[in-house]
Amino acid sequence: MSAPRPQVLLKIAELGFRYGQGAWSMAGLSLELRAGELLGLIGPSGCGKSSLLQLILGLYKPQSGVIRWESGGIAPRPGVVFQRPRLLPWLSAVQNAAYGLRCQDVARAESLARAELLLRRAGLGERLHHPPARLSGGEQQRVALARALLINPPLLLLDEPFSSLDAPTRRDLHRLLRAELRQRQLSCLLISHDLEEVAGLADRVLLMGGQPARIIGEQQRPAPAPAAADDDDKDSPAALLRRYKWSRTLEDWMNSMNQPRLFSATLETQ
Amino acid sequence: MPGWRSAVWRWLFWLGLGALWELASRRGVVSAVLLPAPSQIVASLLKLLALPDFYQDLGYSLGVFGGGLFLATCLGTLIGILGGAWPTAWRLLSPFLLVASALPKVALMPLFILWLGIGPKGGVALTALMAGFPIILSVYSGYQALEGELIEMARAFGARPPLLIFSLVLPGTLPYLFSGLKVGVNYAMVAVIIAEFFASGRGIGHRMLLYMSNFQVGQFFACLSLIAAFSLLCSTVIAHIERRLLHWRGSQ
Repeated sequence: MSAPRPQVLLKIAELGFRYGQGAWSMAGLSLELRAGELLGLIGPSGCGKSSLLQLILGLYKPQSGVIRWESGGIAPRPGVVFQRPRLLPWLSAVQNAAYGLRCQDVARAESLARAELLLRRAGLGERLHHPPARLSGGEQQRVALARALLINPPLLLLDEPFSSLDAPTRRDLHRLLRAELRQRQLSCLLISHDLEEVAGLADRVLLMGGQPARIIGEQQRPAPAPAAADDDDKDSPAALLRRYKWSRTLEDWMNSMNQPRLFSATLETQ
Repeated sequence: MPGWRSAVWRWLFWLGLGALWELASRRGVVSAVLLPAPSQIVASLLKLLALPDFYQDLGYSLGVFGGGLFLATCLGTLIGILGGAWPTAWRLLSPFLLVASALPKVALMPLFILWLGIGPKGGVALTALMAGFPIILSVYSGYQALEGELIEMARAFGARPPLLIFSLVLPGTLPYLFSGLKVGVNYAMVAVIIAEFFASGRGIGHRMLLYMSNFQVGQFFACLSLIAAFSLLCSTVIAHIERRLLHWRGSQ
């Protein structure tokens, strides 16, 4: 008996987009995002990964194709964490974390209370009232992640949010992200340059490339999937070996697709 | 050099310069009619402050100054933000702004008299116009600085226009508004005096014109020193409000 087909959360079909009258940055791009999965999206710089994210967020309208939420009804609002935290410098950490909720018209007191609870869980209990300038890069990204998670989105969009962080901070944030995704049973689309990061987090990986860009390949994480299964023993030799093999597979696959080599740290350096 | 020592040197320099000026005036090196001695200016100032109708003129000038600056701040902020939010409108408006900012605005005063009559309205209009330009340009730059990342973030989270304006655009452009305001205050001061030179039966500017036509140079200088002191006070107050409102910048 075959396993039941996973439920699709978001379907993108034959997407075509260009800024103004410029060259087409993507054409005929199609992908499906399944409920509860962490989908990695990799591709060379400037191939249009962030543009795809802006289209999913509804910040731009595609010239052709559809972006359809399979939940039906009004399109839900995804949560997003950008490469830079994009915190409002005049607000405190807790006010920044509550900002997404304020945008959803949640009352100020309630949004602050919920933000405080999540920031405490994320280890920022001592920093609640600090302005962003007094937070480290990792702490700022925790606040940005909290801001995205607090709106209870059906989908979390991550646009290389860990790329500017040092390795230990990045590992902490990976752990926090996995714990939150597992607890909330959230779907996630992770854009990254870092194959190690994708290997450590994603259940499935899509490769974007070409000019104009489209999805040119797909790799499923080898068993035991999903990536969250590695959480409990993430530093065990078996888990490390699994991630190493998976990242090598991704790299070989990238090379076989004749794609420009992406940045890839080795597991040995971690 | 420690702060207090530098302050002492500064005061000594100005006191020395004042003493030289006093000496030069008393010994007749410079004519006391053309350049009265500091002691004479202080005496004129005290006499001026004892005149009851002086305070009516002061109130009138302050009213024109405050009204013009208030209009400049409100309209300048509005135009700067709208220009940032609607690039097409800004592109349409910018040639006019370019020409208007290069134009000596004093030349428009006869027009204001024609349109608004002799009285405070023309002065308020000239003050708003002169102080408004630096505010418009500063706020517009501030909006541009927000546009790339923060406004996109707020839009991604679905911020509606009122929240976007009050939680992001206004606080985000506030530092730029203060930059514009610091320049605008000085222009406003010039505008008030010029407007009263041109066409007004009241105000400090009108009083200065009368003093000069009667060769009461001491009183003229007394008014001038009051304007300088008020200008200094405005700068200090604005800097203080800026520090209070923009305390988050201190930790950046």
